[in-house]
Amino acid sequence: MASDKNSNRYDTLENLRKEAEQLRKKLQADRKNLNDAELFVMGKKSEGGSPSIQVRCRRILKGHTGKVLDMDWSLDKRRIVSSSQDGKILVWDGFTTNKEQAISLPTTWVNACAYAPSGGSIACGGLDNKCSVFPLNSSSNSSTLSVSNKQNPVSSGPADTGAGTIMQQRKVVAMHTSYISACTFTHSDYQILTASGDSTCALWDVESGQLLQSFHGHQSDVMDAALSPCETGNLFISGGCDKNACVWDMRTAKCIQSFQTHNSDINTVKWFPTGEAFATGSDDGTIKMYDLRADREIACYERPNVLFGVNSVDFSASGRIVLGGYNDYLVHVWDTITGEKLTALFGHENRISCLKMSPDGTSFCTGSWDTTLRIWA
Amino acid sequence: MSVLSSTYNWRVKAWLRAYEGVLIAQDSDNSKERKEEIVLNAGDLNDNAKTQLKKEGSFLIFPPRQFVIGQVSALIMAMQNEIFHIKPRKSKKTTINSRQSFRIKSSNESESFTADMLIQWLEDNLDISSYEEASHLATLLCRMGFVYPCKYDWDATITLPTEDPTLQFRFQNPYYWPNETLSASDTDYASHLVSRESGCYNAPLDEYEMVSMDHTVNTCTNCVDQCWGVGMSFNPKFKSLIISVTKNILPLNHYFYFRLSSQCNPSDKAIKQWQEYAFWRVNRPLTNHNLDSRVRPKDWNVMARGLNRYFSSYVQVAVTDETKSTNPRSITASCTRIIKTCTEWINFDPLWQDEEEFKNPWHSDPAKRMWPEPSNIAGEPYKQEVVSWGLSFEKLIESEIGRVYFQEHLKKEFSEENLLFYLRCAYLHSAPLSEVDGLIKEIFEQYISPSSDTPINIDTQTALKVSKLMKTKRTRHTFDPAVDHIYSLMKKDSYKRFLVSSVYKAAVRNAKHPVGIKKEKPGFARIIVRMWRISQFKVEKQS
Repeated sequence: MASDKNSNRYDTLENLRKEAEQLRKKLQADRKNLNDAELFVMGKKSEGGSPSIQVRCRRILKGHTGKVLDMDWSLDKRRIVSSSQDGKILVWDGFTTNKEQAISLPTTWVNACAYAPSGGSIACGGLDNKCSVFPLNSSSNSSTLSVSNKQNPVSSGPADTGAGTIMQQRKVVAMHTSYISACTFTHSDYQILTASGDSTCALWDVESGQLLQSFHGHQSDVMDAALSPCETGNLFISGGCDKNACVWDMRTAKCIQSFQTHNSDINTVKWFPTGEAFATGSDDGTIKMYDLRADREIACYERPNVLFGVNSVDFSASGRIVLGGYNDYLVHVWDTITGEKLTALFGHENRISCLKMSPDGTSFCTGSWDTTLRIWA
Repeated sequence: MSVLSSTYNWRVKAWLRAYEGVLIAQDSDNSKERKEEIVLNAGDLNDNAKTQLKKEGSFLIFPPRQFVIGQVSALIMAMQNEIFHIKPRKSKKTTINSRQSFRIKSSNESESFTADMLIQWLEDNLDISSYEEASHLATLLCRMGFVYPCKYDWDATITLPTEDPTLQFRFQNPYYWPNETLSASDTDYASHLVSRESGCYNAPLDEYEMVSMDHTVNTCTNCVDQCWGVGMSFNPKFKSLIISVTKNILPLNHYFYFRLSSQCNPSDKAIKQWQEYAFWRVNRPLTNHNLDSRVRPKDWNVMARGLNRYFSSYVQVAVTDETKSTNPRSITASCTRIIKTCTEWINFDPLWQDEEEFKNPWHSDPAKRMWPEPSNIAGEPYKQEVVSWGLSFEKLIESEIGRVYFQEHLKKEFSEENLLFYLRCAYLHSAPLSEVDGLIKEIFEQYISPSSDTPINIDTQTALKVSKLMKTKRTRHTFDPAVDHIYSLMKKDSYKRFLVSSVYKAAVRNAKHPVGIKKEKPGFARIIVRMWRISQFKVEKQS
């Protein structure tokens, strides 16, 4: 009896699945007919050719003992904060490769870290389901704990005296019911936007730790959130494991637009510099660009030899170049408007977990599971 | 003519196959046994999920968490077909865990090839332009366990091509491909190591393997003790007993049936031993370089949540996509806008430019410590920045110095309060919660209320909206209608006049490149003129 019921359910589900698959194929075929990579066609016409990119690894930041999971640039264009799986957060001066500060969290898998716009504090969160804010030592020019990169990872001596007071100064801002996957400061030091594995995003006030706004709509873990670069923008985008990329209005807490054309989880979302379009990177190995006004996907960056998932995506300063950090240990560099793959950058020895452009666009930094960060320019 | 000529097709197929492979695991006669066995292996599931699985019956076990495995599997299958020009196996059962796959059916797996052949094939058929990338991909295939070298002691850090050009590689049996339903459990590893030690294989144990064996055998003895009573583990023949005992504990473990099948001839047996050896080399490496061995937090969540979610979101795909209206015209407009942005700003993109125009500070040696001084200290902005203000109002508002210049200009037009109001409201948007009420009051009193000194000029409609919002609910976004109005006013009106004003023109003239560039050595006369101009500007500023 039970097996009959089960097989019936199985059959109908099987039929449904086949139907859904047919519909999906039809939709994709229709879409292809309508705009067969129009951006690429137009892009090839406008520019004569694409010059070669001369990008090399300029700095290697060694010091983490676990996989590097996330990093962020400071607005002074040279400082970097990075977090790793062993619970350590390091603040580096990227230019000199010195470590300026080290913070040890009691949790592992610190998935997200962010630098405040003023450079005075950092936020981080991970498996502890909380996002905490730490104030930084006033080290705009001089560093109080500069350890040269030739020594071992920060010795326990100086870190301990700092660590005791650091943990006391820690402020727990966000509380979710599952791990924090991304956090970012909004336009000031006083508000934080977090994305979490409990399928919600939330906006928090730092001083009071109060929840200002909560955004529900995803059906699975939200992997990344990004705030619109427009000054007047009240939008942000989020991408999740339900393959959805959603555009939210922060005022009304509603999802204005949603896009679902990926075949697997979306790992990362990033805005185009003007804030009119955004790119998403997914586990299916493609980077797709969506436009807000056109309300659809306008570009897909894929190659048959690029099989591995994208963990992080960023645009160059002009938006002409898209960079993707992939699970096959490489950074693939694409031309945004022609869709060509310009080059692949070798260097890391394990999958790349995060990639970010510096605020002025002169360089970008990648962090990887091989415990190092590399700065490329 | 490559099988992979249409990338779209094989990607969809790969995805479907990975999806199907899991569904089909249910499609067998012994469905009950299979279900139980898999639940036992699912150590990561919590109790709720386990009971749910048992209740639901024949549904998905795990969703395809690792999309890439499906893709690589399809690639390998295509490769096998092509590289030896052998027809694909035509078996109705497409399961890779089926007991039928014990026999080495075709010579796919017994044929060997060199690393160069593999790399060459990848280069030719996958549109890879550089040898480096193709060899990197081949390395990853080897590390994942799809392809293995016919030698002992190879490590997970192997890179292709290896130093030995005669080293032969083989395709791994699909049974051993990384997938969700075959778990490389400790008991299996123990039995493998034990059989290797007893001399069945030609491969002696490595040091680390001996350590592992002792460790895992200990866990097994604990297992034995728990099930059969203390004392059994002291039996002198306990090592061989482990195998039969664990066989009873996990009665339907696929791995044992696969290994101990008596249906193979000696040559096949040698190859099967190689395959098993390779599988364990990948899954229990000396250095933990294994590709997808570490599960990420999102994987735990999905496994714990169960599978109905996965189904529901999948079915929703078709529905939501259909309801979207297609508007071909706006796509062209969007593409034009994007291309325009890219081409306009390409000269400001440090990654795209050549060194002559703009010296990238990262290219210099850190020992020399040449970091360009921030323009604030020098008091004057750099040329690039000033030029960028001319291109976009957003850039002007974003930069601190730009705002100063713009404010100068607005002072002359007597509309300075617009900018100040805008900046204050921007601060309000992300101000700490405690300050919000005070700020709203302050802004209202200073800029909007009729009794203020510096009211902003907004039309009556906007003023009404704002006052309505003030009465009903005071939030950060109370002044938003006014902000939008003022912003567009500044952008369309004041900004245009700013670009032709003397303030901006002076800024453009005086701007220079960042320190460190010697674009041209200025002649003596030029220096004098420049100094005069700077002094003129300073005089202007003061007056």
